[in-house]
Amino acid sequence: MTRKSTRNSFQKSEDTMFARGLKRKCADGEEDGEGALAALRAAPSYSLQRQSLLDMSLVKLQLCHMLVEPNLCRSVLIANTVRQIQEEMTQDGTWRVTAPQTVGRAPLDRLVSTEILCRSAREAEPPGPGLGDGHAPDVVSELSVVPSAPALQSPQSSVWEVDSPRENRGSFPKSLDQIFETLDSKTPGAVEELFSDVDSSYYDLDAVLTGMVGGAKSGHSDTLDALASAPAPPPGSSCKDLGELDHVVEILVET
Amino acid sequence: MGEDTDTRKINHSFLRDHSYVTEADIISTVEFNHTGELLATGDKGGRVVIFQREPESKNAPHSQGEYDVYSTFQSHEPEFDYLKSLEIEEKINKIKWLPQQNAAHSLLSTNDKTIKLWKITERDKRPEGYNLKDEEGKLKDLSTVTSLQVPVLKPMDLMVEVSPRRVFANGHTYHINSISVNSDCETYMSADDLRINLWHLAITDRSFNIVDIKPANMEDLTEVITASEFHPHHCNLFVYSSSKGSLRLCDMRAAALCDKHSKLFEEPEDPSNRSFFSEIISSVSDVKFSHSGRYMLTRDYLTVKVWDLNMEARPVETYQVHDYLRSKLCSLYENDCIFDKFECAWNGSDSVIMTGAYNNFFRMFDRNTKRDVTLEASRESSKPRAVLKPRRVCVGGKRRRDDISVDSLDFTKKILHTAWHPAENIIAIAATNNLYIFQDKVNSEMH
Repeated sequence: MTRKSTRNSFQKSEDTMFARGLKRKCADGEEDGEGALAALRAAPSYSLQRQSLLDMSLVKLQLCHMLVEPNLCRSVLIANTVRQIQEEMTQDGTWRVTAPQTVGRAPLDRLVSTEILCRSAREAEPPGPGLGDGHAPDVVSELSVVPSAPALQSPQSSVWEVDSPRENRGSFPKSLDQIFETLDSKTPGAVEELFSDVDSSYYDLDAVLTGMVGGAKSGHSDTLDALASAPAPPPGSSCKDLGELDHVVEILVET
Repeated sequence: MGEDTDTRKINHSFLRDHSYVTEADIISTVEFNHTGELLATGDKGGRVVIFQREPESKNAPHSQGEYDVYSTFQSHEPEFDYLKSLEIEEKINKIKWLPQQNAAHSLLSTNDKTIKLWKITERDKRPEGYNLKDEEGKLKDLSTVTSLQVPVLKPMDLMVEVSPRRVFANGHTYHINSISVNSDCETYMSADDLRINLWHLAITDRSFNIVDIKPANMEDLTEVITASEFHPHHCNLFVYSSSKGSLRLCDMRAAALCDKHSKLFEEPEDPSNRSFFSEIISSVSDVKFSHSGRYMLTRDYLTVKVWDLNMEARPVETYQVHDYLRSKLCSLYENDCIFDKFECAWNGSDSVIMTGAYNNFFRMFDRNTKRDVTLEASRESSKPRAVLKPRRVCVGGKRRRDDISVDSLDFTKKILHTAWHPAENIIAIAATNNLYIFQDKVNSEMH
């Protein structure tokens, strides 16, 4: 198959799984039309491709929560893809556990990421009794930091441009690039930490609704307790990672 | 295949503005009624437009059963769910006609949350000659009334009246993706991502849950319901498809909650084609029973498959819709096109199947001759009454003159919704905000 050099709306003539901004490598040019990753395993860039697919998927899941009406089917399919990658990386031994540390990370990156979550958390927060009590302060404190960082202006505004699910699919949203760059250099473990600030109760609206229907605060606090005592991750480091990812996925998948 | 196009008439009456695409005008569903006389479309703005086929007349030989606008009404309005702080879209996801039982027509239309039953009636006569009222409806002065008369029905201009007869609300937590009327003509089902409910057409405050795949722990959710349909003849059987590419045939006589399937239709994965996108492209976007009831047609991202109800192990036929996209899956994942949900359709005799693709292309497969054709629905490429020219997508190698290369396909022009007349070779194609109706002038075979 001849490689075309002209760029078009499709971005690549051959799909090598590269995300934007990453340099092409010669080694992967022999990919045939099948798209089977097995063919690429020998290529040195395979893990890079897989990593970028993982990042792209996580960003997509974040965007799901920014939409007015998250599409559950799409979320589930993306989450399954993330699980697949993560399982494979665990088998390869490339899935690294990162201790929750903020030292090495630029505050800019952290705030942008949290900003996305804060916005979706705010949207998902129902005007119910006591829902945000224990948790709103964390979210609000993160939010209050943002206006004082002028460097955030451009990514912040472009992130919030993506507010409609009915967008033209021909072009890739600009804001995704912005978000993507912040995630580009992260290790998988660090990405999990993005979601650690957000209590899963924001997203388990079914439980919230059930609690409310069941009767005021008593039912509601039962639900929150149930969520707070989420099953502990099984022992073993690799299993622990899987458990953490499940927790992440649970947050991301619930509407 | 020789085809007539009827685009100009339809587009003129359907489009508000020819120069740009209004978001609300994007057609989201197309459905013929059981005789094919009526064609209903739903759009993103919550409107339903019904077209009626003109009877063929000798006086106007050109209008051989063309479709004209019959009625337009607002079916759903945007709503706001205050508990979840989420907007509920007014977009019509599906329309299904009820079998006609009297002079009126009825259809079900649904958005993400609420199903409505609409009754469409015609009025072409009105009574004249009342004793107590005059022509304008004002009460007469009784002293002027000297004799009694019997009111007479006089013809008037046809008026089509549409009224909502039932509203089936609050049945679904998740987004409704399908509705299907049962062959018993008394019940119907509605399916969302995780549950399927059975309703009685006359009862709106109660529905029965017949399928529930919601896990106790949402963490464990890995599969959702993507489409469902009742069997055309057996009122106890229905099928639902999943995001993992499986079909489940359920029998309502077996249990009240049909979580256990009677039959599971699943094709084993091809290990040579395995990639991170395998599951996504295996997700079934539409399932349709054949008119005979013997087969099911499914659409996943790259193929359409025919399944025999008697064989669960694999489909009996598989047709490639656009296999040239297989090497582009990552880019299609990036721009979200890989999540597009295409529909599929049988023709009246179950011998030809049809489905949409990108670049305003749609594909037809003849099951008997194993021939297929790619056609395009666009005003540029087809004038009214012109014969549609088959299109070809080239993937490198020899390129013929009118071929389109894979890289110049327009992925914003997708044909997701198509419908086939129940008896004749007439098809309705929704291309974004345009509706195309193609008729086969001559009963010719596909070439």
